[in-house]
Amino acid sequence: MTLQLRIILILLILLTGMFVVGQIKKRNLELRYTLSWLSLLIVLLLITVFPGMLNWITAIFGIELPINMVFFLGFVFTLLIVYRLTEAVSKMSREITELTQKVALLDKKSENKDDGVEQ
Amino acid sequence: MKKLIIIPAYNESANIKDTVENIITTVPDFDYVVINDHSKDNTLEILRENHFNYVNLPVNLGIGGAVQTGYKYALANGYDAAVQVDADGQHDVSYLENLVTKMEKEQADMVIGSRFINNEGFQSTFMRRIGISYFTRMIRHLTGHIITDPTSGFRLANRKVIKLFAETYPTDYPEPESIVYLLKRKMKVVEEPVVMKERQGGVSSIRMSSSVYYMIKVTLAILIENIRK
Repeated sequence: MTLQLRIILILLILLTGMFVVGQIKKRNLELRYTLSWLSLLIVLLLITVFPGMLNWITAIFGIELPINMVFFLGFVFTLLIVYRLTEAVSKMSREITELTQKVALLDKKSENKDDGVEQ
Repeated sequence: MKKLIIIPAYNESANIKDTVENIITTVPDFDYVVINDHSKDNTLEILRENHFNYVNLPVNLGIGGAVQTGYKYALANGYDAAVQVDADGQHDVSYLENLVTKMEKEQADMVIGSRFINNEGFQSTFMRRIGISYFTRMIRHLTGHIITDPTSGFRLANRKVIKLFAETYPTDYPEPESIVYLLKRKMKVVEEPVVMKERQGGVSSIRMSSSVYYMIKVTLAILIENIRK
């Protein structure tokens, strides 16, 4: 990795990190769903600051160019994040169904109680 | 025996009044509840004006979530049997007595009204029949049971099945999947011949554009249901 690329990457990572933290601060993002984002950024930052570490992992994986290892790691982490989101969406859709049904049935019950009164 | 008719309704303003009035006059020994699945048309107003018995979902849940609401209602109000009748008028409620008799005679947990035993009445389109017989063969292969009309929504459930469905029911295209769910739990599922009409209005929940998605989704759902414990 050239020094030029490293500086650009470090700047990008820091900017993204600041953006994510800012969004958490504003409560636009929920911390528990952004932990995977933050760990991705930290890992990318570490290997960009200490390229020795990156060269070592790259050699273990049998990848020729260290930059490809950066892309690969970024891709793997992105998949992890997307998986976490799919999981969260599935859970929420189940919960929303449950809540909607409960609200509708309670609504029905209370309507029966004060019969004749429109909701 | 307390019996309930569950009528899921999504944008059914064209049919709902006729369907409910027909139910009230034809099968007075059944109670009914309409589940309004957050219709965009004036289905809710029609239900309200006519003082029909209905439950109004504040969010659109799709057919599975709507029907499940009906089973939850049946469970909470102590019904011994519940049957799903579509709002579009394709299910002929004069067959309900046959379904009940069959359930009592066979000690069945669920009775499915099938179009394909006597092959009478509206037989669906050619492409759909191919799809349906594919699911019949699939269910037979996986469970050993022959269900001639696995996509029929016209089904009578006893208290045990009401309870199971109130807990777990698939979200979309629920019929074939839920049959496998019951068979895996050793429920007795039998069929009774019925004649169905072509829908009187409104649109089917399964459109041509989504039929490929439908086949793939239901196939996967059945396979996964089969390996679920």
